[in-house]
Amino acid sequence: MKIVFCLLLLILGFWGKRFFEEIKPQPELNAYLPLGKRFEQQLIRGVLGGWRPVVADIAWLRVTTSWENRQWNRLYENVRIATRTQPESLLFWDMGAWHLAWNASLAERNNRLEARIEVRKEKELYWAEKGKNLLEEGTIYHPTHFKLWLQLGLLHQERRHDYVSAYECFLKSSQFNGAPSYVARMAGYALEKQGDPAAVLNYWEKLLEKSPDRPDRGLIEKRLLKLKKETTLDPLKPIP
Amino acid sequence: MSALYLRLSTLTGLTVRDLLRQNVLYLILIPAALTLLTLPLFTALTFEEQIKFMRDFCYGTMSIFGLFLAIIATAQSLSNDLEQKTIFTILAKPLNRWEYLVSKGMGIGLILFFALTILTVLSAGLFAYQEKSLLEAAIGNATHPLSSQELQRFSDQLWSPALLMAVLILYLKLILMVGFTLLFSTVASSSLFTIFTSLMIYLIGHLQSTAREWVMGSEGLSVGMKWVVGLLSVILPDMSFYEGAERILLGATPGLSYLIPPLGYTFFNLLWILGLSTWIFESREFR
Amino acid sequence: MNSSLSLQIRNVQARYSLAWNRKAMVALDDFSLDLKAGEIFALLGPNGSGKTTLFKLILGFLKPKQGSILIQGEKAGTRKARAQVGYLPENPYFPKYLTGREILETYGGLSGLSRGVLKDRLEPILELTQMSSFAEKPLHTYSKGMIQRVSLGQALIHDPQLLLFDEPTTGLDPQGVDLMKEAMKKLRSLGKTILFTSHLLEQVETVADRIAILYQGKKLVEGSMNELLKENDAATIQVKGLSEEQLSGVKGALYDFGASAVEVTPRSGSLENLFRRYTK
Ligand SMILES: Nc1ncnc2c1ncn2[C@@H]1O[C@H](COP(=O)(O)OP(=O)(O)OP(=O)(O)O)[C@@H](O)[C@H]1O
Ligand SMILES: [Mg+2]
Repeated sequence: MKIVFCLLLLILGFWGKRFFEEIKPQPELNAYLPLGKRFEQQLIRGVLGGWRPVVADIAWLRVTTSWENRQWNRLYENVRIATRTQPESLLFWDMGAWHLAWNASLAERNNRLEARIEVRKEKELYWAEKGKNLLEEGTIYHPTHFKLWLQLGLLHQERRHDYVSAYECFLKSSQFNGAPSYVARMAGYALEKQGDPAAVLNYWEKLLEKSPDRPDRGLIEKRLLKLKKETTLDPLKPIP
Repeated sequence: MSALYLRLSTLTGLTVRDLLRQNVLYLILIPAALTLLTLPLFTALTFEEQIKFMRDFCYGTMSIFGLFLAIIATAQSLSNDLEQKTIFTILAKPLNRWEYLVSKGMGIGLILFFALTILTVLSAGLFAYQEKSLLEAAIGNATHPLSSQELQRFSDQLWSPALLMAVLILYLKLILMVGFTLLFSTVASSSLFTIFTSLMIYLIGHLQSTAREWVMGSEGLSVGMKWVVGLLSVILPDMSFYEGAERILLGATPGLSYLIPPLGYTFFNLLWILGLSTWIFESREFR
Repeated sequence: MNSSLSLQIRNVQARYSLAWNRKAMVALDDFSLDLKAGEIFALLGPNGSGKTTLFKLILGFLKPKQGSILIQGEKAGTRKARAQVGYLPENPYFPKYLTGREILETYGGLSGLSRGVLKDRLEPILELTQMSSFAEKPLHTYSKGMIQRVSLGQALIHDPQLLLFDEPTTGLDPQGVDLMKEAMKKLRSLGKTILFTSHLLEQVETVADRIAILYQGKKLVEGSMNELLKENDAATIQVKGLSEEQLSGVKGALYDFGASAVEVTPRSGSLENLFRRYTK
């Protein structure tokens, strides 16, 4: 009698457990990751338990002190620890890349202690690349968040003067939820830098067509007008 | 029915009194509180970082010490009854053995609730203290004056009611661990074994859903091996059900329906655990 | 099956198997016993003869390898069976921080008694066990005798028919022993059945209706006190006020009557009586 009751509980319990496992929403944070990376993440979760974010945060506090002390290698190491232990925190990727590609990179460029300009230039580029790589890895963990794509676009544009990549990143960013309206405009400006007026005009017009009630409609229309004037003044180019 | 209620409530009360008298509770609760009190020592650069750190730190403290409390208190509670032989007078009375297990679980559940409440209140106090001192510092800072909007946003993020949901999800996770620890105690004779096994289960619980996907998806494995893994995954807990708490810490503000998966998952797990542990406990001899 | 019996044990065997050691130790072998309502039965036996083991079987802590045990017709170990059994353990296995009254209340609660019923039960039990004077103090401040009285009280709290007392008088002073004996007689008069163990023979004599002697897990003898202790052709003669010479004369006269062995010893009060007189 009792055994039957126990068995009933067992079966009901397993059934309900299965049921919930089936309807469980895919974990948002890890859904895009390859299995190996996901396993690594879960292992860190299990071992560090509730302290996992705290470990990441403490590494992050060290990032801040490294920045104040201009210890760029230490800063980089701690950014890596923070992003490894808690990659789902956007902050670490976002700010980490900013520290690398701007703070470290610019500090090396303006480093008075280094006399040779080429060495300074090399180091400046080195940290900009590190920042770029970090952001690119971040987009693996957060492929649908506008912010990292936006940052990556800015980085390409400002630090690497790579307007093609910048345009692509801004465009991607503008398509995701929550992206402010200026992101789409930044894509347009980056496109303008590539020197293909036809493509630019096409881009702005498509943008207005797709979302006619944008808050920045006025701005875009003004821009279009100005661009059209410039292109008509150029006799070598046909009007699209 | 009411006799059942009386038996359950009496033994639950006895379990709570027992735990309140034992050192385990204070050996865990006091270090947890002391850890929390170090919070003001950490200052970050931006408000965003500061808020993240405060949330993570308080939640992390609760989750680690809560886990230890859940596992150690449960393991001790049963093994103490065996060692001090009070089980011989308790189970001599007309109560079912499943009632004994359920009461133990409920007693520890109450103690955990009490512990988490204390830590939550303490965290809230620290939040208030930090808020006050940070805002004072920010207002005094002439070079970077903060707009009242920014200040408001800071306060709103700090006091997000969703954080209570995160604590609730943590509580459910700990209750599941109480269930597993009780299950192991019904077979074990030493509490050390129970504690170790439960910690292992906690770790494996985090890995199992990914591991299962991995094994099931890979080509080279034999059908038998896949059966074994499938069977194991029926028994092992899937801790990813409780990841919602971490998402709340990162700023998510979900509705109450967010609690349904962890709630349902915990409930049904407790059902089968109760079935199995009663089965084992019924056939166990006490000598 | 006879459900009018308070306890019916049929050919029970109990074994302890030691961990890692496959050799099992037989603690009770082919043991049978019937107890009727309203009798006091004493189980005598040296240390390690299997008395406590028998109690563990009746309470369902151990499961018999062979045979069966019924309490008021219910299978031993079930909840219904345990509702009919009160257990006074050989050592005080209680939470030591509870007071005597709390022990009674807690164990009443564990038996499913409501506050109201408990209140009615508590008074007669406090009176029977005479623990009112220390009922509000925690158990760890108690002497052996006090603990034993609380132990008795909690065994009675759910008003069971069958009472199992495991060495109820061991370690008690004569007054304590008296209290225990009086309580047992009172319970018998209420129709309760008592099975108790002891290895102190003189304490058994005055209360038990029937006894059995257990040795190395086997029952050696069983019977009523009168049957077992009566030696039909032996008698004790007590005299007072005779001189040595007169006594030897009486001795001679007894031989003349045909007695085969005559022993005349001056009477001395038992040590127990002496102790009683001084500790009254
Ligand atoms: N938990 C146990 N594990 C193994 N053997 C045991 C256990 N308890 C008792 N025994 C053995 O069973 C036998 C009977 O023990 P039991 O406790 O029933 O004796 P007892 O008659 O109550 O003795 P005492 O008068 O000392 O209380 C003993 O030989 C003892 O060694
Ligand atoms: Mg004994």
